[in-house]
Amino acid sequence: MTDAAKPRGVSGQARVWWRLRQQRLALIAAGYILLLYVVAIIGPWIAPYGPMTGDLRSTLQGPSIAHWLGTDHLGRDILSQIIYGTRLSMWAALEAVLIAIILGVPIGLLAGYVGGKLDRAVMWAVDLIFALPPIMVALGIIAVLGTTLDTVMAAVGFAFSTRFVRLTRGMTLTEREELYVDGARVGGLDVWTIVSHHILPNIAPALIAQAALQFGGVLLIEATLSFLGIGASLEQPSWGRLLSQSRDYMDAYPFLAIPSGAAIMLAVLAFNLLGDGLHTALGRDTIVAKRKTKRRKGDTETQRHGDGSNARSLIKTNMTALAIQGLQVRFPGAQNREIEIVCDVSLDLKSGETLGLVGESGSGKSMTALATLGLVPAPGWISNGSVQLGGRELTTLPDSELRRLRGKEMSIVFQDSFTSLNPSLTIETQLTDPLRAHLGLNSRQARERALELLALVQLPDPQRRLNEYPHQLSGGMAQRVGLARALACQPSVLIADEPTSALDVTVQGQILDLLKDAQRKFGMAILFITHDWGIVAELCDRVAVMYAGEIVETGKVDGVFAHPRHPYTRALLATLPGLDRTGTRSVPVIPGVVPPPQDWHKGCHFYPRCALAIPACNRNPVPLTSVGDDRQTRCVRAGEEGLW
Amino acid sequence: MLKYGLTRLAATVPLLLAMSVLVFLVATIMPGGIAVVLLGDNASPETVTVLEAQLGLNDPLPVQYARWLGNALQGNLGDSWTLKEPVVGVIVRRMPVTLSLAVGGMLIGIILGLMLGIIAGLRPGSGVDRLITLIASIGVAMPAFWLAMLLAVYFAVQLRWFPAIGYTPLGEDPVKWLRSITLPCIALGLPTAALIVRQMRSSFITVLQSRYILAAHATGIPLWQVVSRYALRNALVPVVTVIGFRLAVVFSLSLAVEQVFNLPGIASITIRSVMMRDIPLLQGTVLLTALFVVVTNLLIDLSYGWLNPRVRLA
Amino acid sequence: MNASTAMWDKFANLSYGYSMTPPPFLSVRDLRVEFAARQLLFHRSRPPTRAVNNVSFSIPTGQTLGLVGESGAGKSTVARAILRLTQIQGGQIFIDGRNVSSLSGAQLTEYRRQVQVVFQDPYSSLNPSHVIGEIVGELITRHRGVRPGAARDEMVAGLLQRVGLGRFVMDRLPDELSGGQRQRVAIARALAVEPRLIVCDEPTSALDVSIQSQIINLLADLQASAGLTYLFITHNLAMARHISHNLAVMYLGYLVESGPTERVFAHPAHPYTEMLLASSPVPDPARQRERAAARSRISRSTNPEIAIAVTSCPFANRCPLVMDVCRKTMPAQTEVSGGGSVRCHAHATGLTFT
Repeated sequence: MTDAAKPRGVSGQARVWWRLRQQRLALIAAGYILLLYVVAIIGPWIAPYGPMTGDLRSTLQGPSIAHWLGTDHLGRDILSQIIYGTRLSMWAALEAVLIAIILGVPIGLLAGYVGGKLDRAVMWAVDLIFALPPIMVALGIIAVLGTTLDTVMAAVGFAFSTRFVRLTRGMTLTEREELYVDGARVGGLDVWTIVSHHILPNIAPALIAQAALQFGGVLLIEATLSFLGIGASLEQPSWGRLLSQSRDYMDAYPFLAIPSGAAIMLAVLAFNLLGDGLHTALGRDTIVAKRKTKRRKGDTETQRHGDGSNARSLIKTNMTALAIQGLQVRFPGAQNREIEIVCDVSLDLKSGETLGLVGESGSGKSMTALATLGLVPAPGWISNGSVQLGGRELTTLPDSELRRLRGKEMSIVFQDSFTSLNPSLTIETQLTDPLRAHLGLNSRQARERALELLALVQLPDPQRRLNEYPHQLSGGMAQRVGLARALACQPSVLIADEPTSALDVTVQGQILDLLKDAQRKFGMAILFITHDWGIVAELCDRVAVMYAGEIVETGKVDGVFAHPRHPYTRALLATLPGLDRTGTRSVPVIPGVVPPPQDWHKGCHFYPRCALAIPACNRNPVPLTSVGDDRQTRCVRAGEEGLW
Repeated sequence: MLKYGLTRLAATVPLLLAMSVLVFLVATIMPGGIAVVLLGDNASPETVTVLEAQLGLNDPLPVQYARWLGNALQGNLGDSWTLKEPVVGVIVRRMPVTLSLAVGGMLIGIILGLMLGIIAGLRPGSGVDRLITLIASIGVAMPAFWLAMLLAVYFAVQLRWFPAIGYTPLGEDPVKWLRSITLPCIALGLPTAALIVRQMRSSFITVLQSRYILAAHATGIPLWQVVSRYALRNALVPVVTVIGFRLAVVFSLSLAVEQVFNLPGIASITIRSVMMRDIPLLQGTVLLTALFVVVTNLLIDLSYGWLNPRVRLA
Repeated sequence: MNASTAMWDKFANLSYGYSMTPPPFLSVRDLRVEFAARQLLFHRSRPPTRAVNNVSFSIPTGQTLGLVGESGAGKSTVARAILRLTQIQGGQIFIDGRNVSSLSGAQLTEYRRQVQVVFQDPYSSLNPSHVIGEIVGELITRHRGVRPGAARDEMVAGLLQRVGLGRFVMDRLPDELSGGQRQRVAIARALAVEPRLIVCDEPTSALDVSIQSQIINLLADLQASAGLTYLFITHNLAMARHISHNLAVMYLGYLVESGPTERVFAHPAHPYTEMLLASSPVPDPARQRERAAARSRISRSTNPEIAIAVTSCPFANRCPLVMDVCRKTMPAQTEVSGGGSVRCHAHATGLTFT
């Protein structure tokens, strides 16, 4: 039972409820819709007058105690007509939406899952109808079949069913590509089970949200048709019909247009808000966190991890290109708590050297890189610490000045080269924009420089590539372009955030060689972020190991590999299968998993998984301490003889 | 780009043909058949048979369709049964009114929608954003014809800034023309703007959170350049889709707005054709809508190509 | 048995020429998979599947074959063909000597009881709206006829225990588990039908380094206790070396080299295998710096972006040993001393990098 750690968080259903409750507007809207349906059901009993009971002695009256919303040209009570209209509109909308779902969803599921010719035929027909405005489709059907309300709503339902076909098919196509569907096929399940039991539950939330939105659309069409005199017959009180009657009295009594119009608008608004809320609450990747405008909290906050001063004094030469001290990054969490995802990171990067920053996913290494550049994504912020580039403090610089340094003095290469290039701009634009912004080159000079850069990163046929778009490149080529962009202004510091992790090993080798060449040429310092210890071994002079938001050990590469001084480093190095390790079929393991930031321990973050843990480890934050020649470690037992 | 445009243009031909088949079929699937509709339910079977023979209704369907299509291509959609004049003439006379509304309404909607959407999307969660989002939510729920009535009551009836009803052709008096379509265009434009605001805002926010925008910030180019050059174009792609849907709908939305302002556009003849089962007139108006939709879809496809190189170069 | 079968069996024996080798459980013969060009507009989350040309290999019962290669090599296509998730255009697949390449209906269901899968991405391979108990129990119901209920729950709990998970995960959604836990669930689901072969398609590459070894150990333990046969697909050579008895190396749809793991690592016969080995970093500074220097010498001259003829060796544009014949004809599969086979013109002439 090595990995049987505690389950994380609350159960899925509870979370959906919590998300739903966050959508307050949607809840209010849902309440209003419920009220409308209650009114629709009990309308005849609560309406003060009959819908057609007129009193010609009191026509076109304003609101009064007898008639809360006044009367119309025949002296009929407006409120009663609205109540009866609710009955009509709500049932009509329900009818149309149900027809649309019953027709649309199965066809969409089938076309999406089966694919091929069936899919193409169905979608061609659907697109044909979809291209026409639903109201025109409805009008055509009505002209043929006649103008009873049921016909009208069936026609509207038919017109709207194409939307459900398209939506369902699109989502089914996406789901079909998910591995769990392959898994179900390998499990020998039949098509019916896969579609109904596996795919449908996953697309149902989006369908429900969509249904709510379509209710609004259907209500609007029903009102429009009634307004035009096509939907409900003259004897049937409907919102649209009421509004159309008030048109004749725009001059004399404009108030007549208000109640029915407001009734339509509020109902549509309620369905739209409910649909939006459901969409947000049921979406798979919901970001609930609200944006916070809070910036650095600065010095009022006591530092949790000591002041790191002993780390600072050790290697501070005037050769330092980049110095990070006690960096903290926080994000707002649930219940107004703040979650620290980078805690007390200190790094020094000397000119011309390569520092490896290694750690597993979630250790905070990429966030450290973004914070260094002043690019912590909202709603996070740098809550403490300093970043100095060539002796200049960056965390207090205004954005406009930071921009002048970014890309010029300090630049970054990202892991996924494709997503970090803009899909709709040419390589030329993306390479020359920074050159023109930082070096003031004109477009011809910038283009020439861009060609030189592409030659530097050994991109074949640079002339042609300049005019191409990212999607025309292979992964390796895109990463070369990313590298060229980062090197454009010959920065003094290059941050490489897993630049080769998405590439094949043979391409990885070429990119690493390029980096080494560029470093030799420009003499820049490289902060190389990776999870691959083999790359650290090849490329780096020094290494800093991150675990759960903290640097746990730093030192010269050879020393750290030969004699790790932190239990995490030691255990991790032991688990790595080497190319030359033979025989044993069982690898040493580190039990458990990297905990999420909200579960990090107050003391040593590695405490729960550590083989050397003693009670003292969990008491207080552990500072980074120096243990010999250019080596620091964050371990309570670092000083114990014989342990290392 | 030219090649892409031509392929898209060629692709509209089958679409138009399919639409014409649909439109043609409307007439043939009438319960009882056209002759009965024309002559009324009390007509004797003999007269029905005679009329059917006269109209060529006994020919096989493909023959009837070919004859109908041949006429349609020569600009002959037959005579309206109720107005007793050529359908094409009726439509050509009324077209400028509806087209003015549709184009004017879309222009107001697109310009206003994009502007407010960008403002809201730049600072999500701010006061301005919340205000714009709220107004947009209400605007989307607002029936265009209700808005038209409210505008008419206030600006035409009470303030008398604009005429409450009626239409002056552009050729007759441009100023009067503008005044006669201003309110209808606003009534069509505001709900359209609301729709575009919502899409523009959300896609702008999505794009601003993307990796390539982060990477663009990391290159240190100025903020305005990141927003205008790196974000805007990509954010526009889903907005164009919404504009396309809206273009198709705005044509039918203008039906109700025309009624409010008593404009002599397509609306009244469409409703007339539906209520009185005037099949040639209905075929004409539906075909016109279809044509409008096909043309706008073509424009939308072309703008996709302009916005997205993957589409253009595929 | 016709002549070609006999020839092929001879070849299979050459590939795994141990005298003590058990009979093959899975044999793939001349497997060919092709794909029509897909619509470009179609966005897909998964990279497009690659064609596979004349791939043959076999896996002895209870052993592991490591299938290695880079993206686009066609490894996953081979896996999907064996799992009957994709149509094959040529060749045969044998399980226990029985041709399974055209099974359907009840026979296919029966086949699915013997062959299961563990996919790379445990975030996509478990249905996000099903609880773990259903994910694992579903196949028990389908193939062993046990209805949902207490009895099935006991069986599920037993399976979860075998993969190191407590029964408390049964009513959790995949979303609430870590990557490593999810991958354990995926393994438990595969075990639910008591299969004999598990296709592991990069089962560890989506996981953190410290979790990878946990999963590898689990798979090795299960093999030892249940006599499972594995087809283990990976791009990580160190991982492949650790778990595989035999290795097969693929490049652009061709199987370019195969043989006993030790032989392939000690004496790679194909220049691509050699390049792959040289490019895989080892976590040892002194050695890796040396290896990097050697790698640079090999790979610097090559350029994968140059187009090559359809008939040529697929590696011709990157091969440091390339000869005229390589650009004209595809090399045949030849025997390698020390076990296994290779497709390389240069191998016959005895050329090497070093």
